[in-house]
Amino acid sequence: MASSLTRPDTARPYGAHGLPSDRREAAGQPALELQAVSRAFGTHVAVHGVSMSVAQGEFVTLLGPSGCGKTTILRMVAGFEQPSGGAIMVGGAPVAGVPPYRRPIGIVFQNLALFPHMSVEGNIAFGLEVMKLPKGEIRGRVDDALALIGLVGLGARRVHEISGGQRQRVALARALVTRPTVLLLDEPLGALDLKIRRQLQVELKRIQKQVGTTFVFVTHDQEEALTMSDRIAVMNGGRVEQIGTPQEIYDRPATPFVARFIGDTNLLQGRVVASAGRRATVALDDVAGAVEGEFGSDALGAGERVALAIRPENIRISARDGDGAGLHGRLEEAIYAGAHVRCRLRVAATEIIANVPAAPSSGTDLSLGRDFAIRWDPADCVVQAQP
Amino acid sequence: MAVLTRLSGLITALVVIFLIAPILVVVASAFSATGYMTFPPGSISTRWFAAFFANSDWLATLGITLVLSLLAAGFSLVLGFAAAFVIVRRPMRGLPAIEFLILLPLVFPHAALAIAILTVVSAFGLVGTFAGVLLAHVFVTLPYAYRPIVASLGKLDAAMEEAALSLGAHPWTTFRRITLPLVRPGLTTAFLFCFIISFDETTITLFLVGPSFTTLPIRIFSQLQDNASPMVAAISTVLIGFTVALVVIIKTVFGLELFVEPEHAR
Amino acid sequence: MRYDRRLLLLLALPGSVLALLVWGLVRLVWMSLTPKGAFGFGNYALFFARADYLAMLWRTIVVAGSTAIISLLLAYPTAYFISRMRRGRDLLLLMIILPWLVSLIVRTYGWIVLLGNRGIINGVLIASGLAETPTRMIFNTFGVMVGMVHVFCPFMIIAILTSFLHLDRSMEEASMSLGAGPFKTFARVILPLTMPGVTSGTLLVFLLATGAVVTPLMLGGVRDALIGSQIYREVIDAFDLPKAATLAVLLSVFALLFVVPLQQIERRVARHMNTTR
Ligand SMILES: Nc1ncnc2c1ncn2[C@@H]1O[C@H](COP(=O)(O)OP(=O)(O)OP(=O)(O)O)[C@@H](O)[C@H]1O
Ligand SMILES: [Mg+2]
Repeated sequence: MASSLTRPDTARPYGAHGLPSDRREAAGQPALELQAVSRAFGTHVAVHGVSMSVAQGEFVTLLGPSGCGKTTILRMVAGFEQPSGGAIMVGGAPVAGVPPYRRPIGIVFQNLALFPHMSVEGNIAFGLEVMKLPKGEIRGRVDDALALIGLVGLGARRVHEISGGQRQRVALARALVTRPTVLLLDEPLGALDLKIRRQLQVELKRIQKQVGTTFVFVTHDQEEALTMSDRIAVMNGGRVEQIGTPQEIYDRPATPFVARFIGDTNLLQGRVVASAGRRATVALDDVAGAVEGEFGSDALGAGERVALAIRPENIRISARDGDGAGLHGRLEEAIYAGAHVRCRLRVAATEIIANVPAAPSSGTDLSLGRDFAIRWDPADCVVQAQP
Repeated sequence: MAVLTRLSGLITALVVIFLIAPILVVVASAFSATGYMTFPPGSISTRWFAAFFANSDWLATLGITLVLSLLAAGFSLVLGFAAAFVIVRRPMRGLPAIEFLILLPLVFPHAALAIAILTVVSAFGLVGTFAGVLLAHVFVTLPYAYRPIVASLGKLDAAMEEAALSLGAHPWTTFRRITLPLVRPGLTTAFLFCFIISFDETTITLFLVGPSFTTLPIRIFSQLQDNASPMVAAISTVLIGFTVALVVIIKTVFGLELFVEPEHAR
Repeated sequence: MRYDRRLLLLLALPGSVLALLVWGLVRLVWMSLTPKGAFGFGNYALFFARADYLAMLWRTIVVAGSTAIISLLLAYPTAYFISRMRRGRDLLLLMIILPWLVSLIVRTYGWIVLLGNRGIINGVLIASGLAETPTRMIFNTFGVMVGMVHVFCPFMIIAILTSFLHLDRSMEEASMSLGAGPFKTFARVILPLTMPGVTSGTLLVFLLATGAVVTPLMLGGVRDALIGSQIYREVIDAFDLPKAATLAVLLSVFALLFVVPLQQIERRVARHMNTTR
């Protein structure tokens, strides 16, 4: 679809503010780059030397718990907050000192911030009007935008006369029509109920693919992050703990925090007894016996304290076979959860959660109180340095 | 609660009668042939209205009072907006003192306030002039402008303005196209409130008028002090009419909560 | 949006107007201290040496205090009733707000028509044979009180109504459902929760009533003047601005003197409410 929202092959001039027309398209430049960006509020450091690079057309998610500095980063990129240290480049050009209205940035706010005194069209056209584009072009771009978000015919409605999901799309279209180099989205789906939220996740992704704009998306919902992003930056306490594809983040969490934050994870403490390449043999603190895993980042020598992270779905349990070797535990709870049964096993002083496929054919007798052997593929067990 | 409700209903009825009675009596007087309502009532007539609208002298006073109130409301609106904008947007030390001063005329005993204002007006040699009374009315109406504006600015979501800026709108464009329209209800209320207050102001104006300049309420006051012309009731009724019209406008456009809410809207 | 210091320039306009106001207040005090050009407390000495002035000051406080109390007694049930109305609340509110905004002078005129010797009430009394000669109802303290309550009652109603509208009706129902009767519910739940409106309304009415000029001037007698009407006479009839300034300063000081304890109560009530919540 040749929507006028799609990234043009040749950059369009942004005449209104005298911006260089090629400012974002300098080939090969990252769309957004943060270099050791910090921000302190008084003595409180909200953002701590964050560096990252976002490629053109990429969908990057900032994921982290409340208060970890996600919004602060977006506001610095947009120009509403000034970094206390470091540099921000948009389309290869530093933006320090550039006021928000001259940055090639679009934002979708958490509360959407649609202008209540304007119609749907009025909202979408606003950015184009202040650019002083010709009327005909504005009309064309607004119509394209309405088509893109599937709201053709609703342009004349007031923003309070449309549904929450539709409002959401209008906010997106409003930010996209000005063709920003980077679109910032601060928990845009936060206020919606689960069903509409799922639907909009899919649609947002579709629109992003279609227009090819670089998205920086903020959420604290890990599932949303995993399903939508090209890459995820997991944040904690103002720092980025790990940046990687959803697969990398999920499979090889770099820190215990990431492991805990992304999905359910069993975390076990121990000490390295032997290592061979990436493979490690670890003696657990609470349980007799050694287990195997693979180092998540750098390999460590024997004697180092480590944390092991294993996803519940990667743990296999089977009725205990006589010899007693390996890890075993007693089943304390089994909760049916759709496609799998979530089993809680007591292993000495710790607990291990295992998700067992619920198919009747799996044939495991899940009666409480029974003893089970616990196994995993060493490749599924990430060994991380314990700070 | 039935007992308390019934009892309070009875008191409410008496209060409403008490509040409305003197106003109704003035209107009734205006329509009586003698210009002064007596018991038993005399015949009905509109001659005093006719006399008023034929009297260019009184009409001139009405006109100048209207101009005065419009100007006072306009000035207070601008000053109140400037102060409210800074106080809401850039809270810092010292600003509460400014807010206190703006609101002071609301609670300061008016007899004392009148003398304080009189000293200022006379220092500029403006006693008995339009400008002097205008200055006084700005003092008096400023708090009525300030409160609804602060309330509506406080309710304005900062993200609205940020959204406009992020869409490339210059701060001035943002102000004109987003901020102003969104606080317009507050501005309108402020203006109408100031207008009513100024148009009816008597206590402080009393000290500031002179032979060459007076306002409609003060002229009615002087009439009542001397031998009232039978026209006074008709003139008063015109004044009542203005107030009723404005209040009804506010009621239909914004609802009456506006009168109750401003105190707590922050 | 964060604004830089340049925004403070906007304060220049209202700031200069307010500076004039402060200047006026300073000049007011200064004027009272410089009778006939030389600095001194002569004006104040004169005031406190005159029994009639002291009586006038006291009368002003009493009339303002009574106005506040009578207004409160009328306003509280009215505000309660309005807040509990489901239909017709707007109309009733209109009946309160309209008189509030009608010109003071017009309302005072209305009372002259009603209460005067040849007024309507006396007319009815005489015509019905209940009285032979007119009863004197204006040009005395009674007339002033009627006029003042009429002026200030709406202020009080609106202050208390604001409190009531913030009071959730379910509080009342919760109390009743817990077995508290209507009077107990009123005393233990409704009254404490509307106390902020009561104290702020009473304060406001008291302060404004001490400064009334027009009502005592038009409805009061010559011998029972209040400070407000006396100030007017000093300025307009006697051209004695320093004396008027002295009266104005004393009026403000004494009004505040009575307000401070009330404000203490208000604060205590507020603190009490916060701890019990
Ligand atoms: N203007 C400010 N002044 C002082 N502290 C602030 C300011 N803005 C943010 N902070 C603090 O900085 C930290 C990070 O805030 P931020 O809003 O970026 O978090 P967030 O990751 O977006 O959280 P959430 O998921 O709750 O939106 C918080 O501890 C917050 O209290
Ligand atoms: Mg946030």
